[in-house]
Amino acid sequence: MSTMKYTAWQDLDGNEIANAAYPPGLVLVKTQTIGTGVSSVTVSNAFSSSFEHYRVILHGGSGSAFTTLRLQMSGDTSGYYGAAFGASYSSGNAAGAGVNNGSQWDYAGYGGTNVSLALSCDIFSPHTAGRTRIKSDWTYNSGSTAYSMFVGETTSTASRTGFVISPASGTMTGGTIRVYGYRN
Amino acid sequence: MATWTREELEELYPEGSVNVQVDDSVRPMTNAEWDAWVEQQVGVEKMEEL
Repeated sequence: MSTMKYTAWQDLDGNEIANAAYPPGLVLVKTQTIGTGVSSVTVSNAFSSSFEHYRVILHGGSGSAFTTLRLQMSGDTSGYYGAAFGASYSSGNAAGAGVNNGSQWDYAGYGGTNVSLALSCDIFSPHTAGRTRIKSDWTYNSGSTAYSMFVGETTSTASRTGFVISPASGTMTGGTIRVYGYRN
Repeated sequence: MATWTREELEELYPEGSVNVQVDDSVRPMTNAEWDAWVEQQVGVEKMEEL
């Protein structure tokens, strides 16, 4: 294993010292456990000026029905756009689903009775005034079709501090939401 | 394509059984919230679980 050794701090510039003490990467901002029979969970005070971009991961627990998980920025109830991309397991044919001026991003994740809740999403500039964009790595399966990615944008330019996750069908029980900030 | 009906939803999720959560606070939906929630899910496609 190679290690980096500094023999003289005076040889380092400010950025090098900062990177050694606080290396760039993901920093855990907030952890939220989901309760029982919950139709929506609001995670507040997740976004701040401390970080520009964030990753949200939800895993564990289950849904009362097989369902997509929707993501909404707190306070923004319209102006959501996006598209999910996928393909059929059986035929390989491409498939898609869209959100056109919706009230949330409809395909941010999924969950069910036999699968845990799953959402892994990068959120770009939610606290900065301007449009927020997302990229969700794992959206959902329906029948023989798997949707592997969802990208979205909201036309609202508000500065947000939190978000809401809700299933399109049924309720959620358990699972843990973790919010990470991208430290530069 | 099968979709959820109000009768199915009322049977699966009777009044008082559905909660809303804000951070660590979990509370049952009010009757008005529950009614709106059920109505919003009527007609939603039942996804096929693998």
